[in-house]
Amino acid sequence: MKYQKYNQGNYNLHTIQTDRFKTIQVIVNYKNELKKEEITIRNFLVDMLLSTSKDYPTNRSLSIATEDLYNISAQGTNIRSGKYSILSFKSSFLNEKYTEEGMNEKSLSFFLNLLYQPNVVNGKFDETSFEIIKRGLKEDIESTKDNPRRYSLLRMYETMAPNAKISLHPSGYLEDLEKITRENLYAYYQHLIQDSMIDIFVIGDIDNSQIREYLKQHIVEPIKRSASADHILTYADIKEEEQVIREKMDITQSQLVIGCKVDELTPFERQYVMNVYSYILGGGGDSKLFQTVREKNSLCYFVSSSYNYLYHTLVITAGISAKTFQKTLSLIKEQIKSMEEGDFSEEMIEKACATFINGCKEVEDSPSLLSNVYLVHEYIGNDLLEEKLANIKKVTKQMIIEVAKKVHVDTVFLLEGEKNEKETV
Amino acid sequence: MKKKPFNHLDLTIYEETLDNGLQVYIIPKKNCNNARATFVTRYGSNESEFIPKGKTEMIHVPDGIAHFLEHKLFEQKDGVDPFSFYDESGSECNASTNPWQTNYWFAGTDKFEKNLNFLLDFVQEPYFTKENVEKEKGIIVQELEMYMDQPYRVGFEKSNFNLLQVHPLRIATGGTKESVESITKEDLYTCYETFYHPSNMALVITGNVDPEKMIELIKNNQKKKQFSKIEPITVKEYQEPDAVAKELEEIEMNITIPKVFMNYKVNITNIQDVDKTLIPLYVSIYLDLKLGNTSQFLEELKKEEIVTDDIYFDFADIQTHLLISIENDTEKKDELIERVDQELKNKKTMEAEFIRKKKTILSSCVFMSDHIDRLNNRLVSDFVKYKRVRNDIYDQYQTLNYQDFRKVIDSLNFDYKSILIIHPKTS
Repeated sequence: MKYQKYNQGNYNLHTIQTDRFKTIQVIVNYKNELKKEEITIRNFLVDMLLSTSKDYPTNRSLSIATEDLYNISAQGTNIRSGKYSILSFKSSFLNEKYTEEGMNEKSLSFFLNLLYQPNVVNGKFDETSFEIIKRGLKEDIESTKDNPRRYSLLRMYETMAPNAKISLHPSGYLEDLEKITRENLYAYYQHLIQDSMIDIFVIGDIDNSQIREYLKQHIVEPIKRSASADHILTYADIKEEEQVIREKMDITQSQLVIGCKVDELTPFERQYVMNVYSYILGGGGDSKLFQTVREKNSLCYFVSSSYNYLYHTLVITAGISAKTFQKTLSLIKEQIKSMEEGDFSEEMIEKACATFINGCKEVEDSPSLLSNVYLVHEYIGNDLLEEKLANIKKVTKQMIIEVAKKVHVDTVFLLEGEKNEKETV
Repeated sequence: MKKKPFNHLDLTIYEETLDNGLQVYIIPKKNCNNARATFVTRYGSNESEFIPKGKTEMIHVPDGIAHFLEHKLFEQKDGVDPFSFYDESGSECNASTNPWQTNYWFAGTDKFEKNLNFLLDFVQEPYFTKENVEKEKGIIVQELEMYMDQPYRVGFEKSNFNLLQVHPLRIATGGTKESVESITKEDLYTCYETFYHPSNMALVITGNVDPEKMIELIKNNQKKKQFSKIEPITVKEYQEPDAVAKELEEIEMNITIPKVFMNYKVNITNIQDVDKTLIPLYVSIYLDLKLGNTSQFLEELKKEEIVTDDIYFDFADIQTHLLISIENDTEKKDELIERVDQELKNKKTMEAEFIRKKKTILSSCVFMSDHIDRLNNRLVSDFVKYKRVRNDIYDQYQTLNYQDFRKVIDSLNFDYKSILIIHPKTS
């Protein structure tokens, strides 16, 4: 496996040459500052670019083309990454060794044409697909409450940090959607391709010089090269007392979400120590939360913790019965507290490290995971695989106790199922 | 151990059936760090009426017991929790139950042999006590309650219930709160002894392993254990009629846009001279041609604002019938139902389109072969369905042809359907 980074004028090309996969994967990322008023239009643009193109003016003709190209896939998402929003487009196709000669070039140009040859006439995107996408986005925004778990998480963040970027709605906002027209969407598109920080990743059994040539032919180079700043957000306000919010909904199972704020950490702490911490607290079947809340007390089916270093938050979620709320909450808080007191074994640290190492080794089996390591290295400066494998072993019990002291329970959100309450004695 | 090429996919499959009846399948993959093993029994929630091992009378066990059993096999006499054991090597492990199978798997890059031994041991050494059975009930009831808030899950479970009259697929895999509460330790042992005999099971390994070493380890492990003699298992057979149990049901849930589930029960017993294993695939190609994103039909429905998203479709196979489920969110339910119905009954197709779909099926096969987990699942589902594993799926897919496709399609009857509508709650 060989990684290389090229400066292609005002954007970066990253290539990972490997013969492990029968596929070639291409990722094109447009990075910009995350702004509330741009979330909706960015979501719109992702769907618009992937639904039709100049060569394939209807979604049907485009879908047929993907099948003709041996089931090439093209996907896109709007990723929220700390202070930034990344529109990420990804394509995966079979290496021509498994199809027919010339397919690599055809596949790559199909994908890049989606991004750079959009279905635009007279400065406007195509009307039919515009209307279909608008309806879809409207439904997405309006149906936020359909998934109680996701909704609870959103409400917890809104309560914890109402003005922070983490509480912005990933699906966007109706008032912004109403303002989007076929013209201003195209104007935003122009802005995206000209003013973003662009990183392109290509993974597979590839010829680098050929790839560079193809890209030069297809990509519109940004006007200037923008510098990337740190992605990570921090909170200034740690609450003295935690906030408990309860909301009722007509569902069966209650959703408990506990949001913790985490103090400023060193790069080593956030990449390694917190990883081990969260693993021991609520990472899997052997974790303190799973063993206490589920196995010993039968209070839930799922309970877990996850740490998000971009937002300095640790979030614990569990599906419970509303009547056991207080009991579950105090058990979880006891477990959080016990981390500070060092109430966990060396054996658990070893297991956390083993899981981390296993995860690192698995990375090489998957083009997506592999590209992600380099992507996160590029954007956030996280270590690469070799350093990760060495560094994780340096984590000590004392280090974990130190980060445990930096975790503060901030907001408790309970989405209370009403159906269950009726049966309560 | 037999060695066969896994055709066109640059892979080799090793297979052997042990003396106790256990089938072992191994696909080593070079250039890969991870490996995955699945221990699977051909026992799921469909096996609810059967003659227990050593008995002569048919019994009916409580609904949800296969899934309950899956949970309980994680309980070990010596107290070593499998999750905890696999964590030592940083491996993943889990289990799942569906109507046709229960499987236990782990995956990891380290200590694979030790892990494999443990997989065989924890599944083959049940330890059920009155206390540990009672304890599990609270956890499973929470799991069922979680599902009750998932509209798709509720939709598909109700759809099967309304579509089928007698086949056990009508009952949800997890059972109900009441049936779960009624399960006893004795029930669990009865099911275990009947369905977890090695001759009803397979071990499937894919990834970075040495097949010779694996088979030796598996044989040594099995040699140390006592198994009863291999006997055929008698499971009740059902004569599912063509007619549906209930043609229409409307319910309310906490959602925003109504969900329409259209379910068809299609008899496939009268299809002659076509490779039986390919019939479901032909039907899925048909659904894709008619309702998928390359169809004129979907394009029109979107333009007319009858649907917004792509139409979801899938099917289940109960031997005599295919159960086709079609789902979409829409405010225009009557139009959607009528239009889909017309489209399925209008059997016009084009050969060129069929050939394009065939190309995508062959491509998907190559995509699949790059992932040890998808490869593993592929072999597992083959074993569950056919009690053998096909090493020639690529060749078999190459035999897909338009004549047979038409033969299958012409015989399909879309007259038996059941509709389920989930409305937003009116508060």
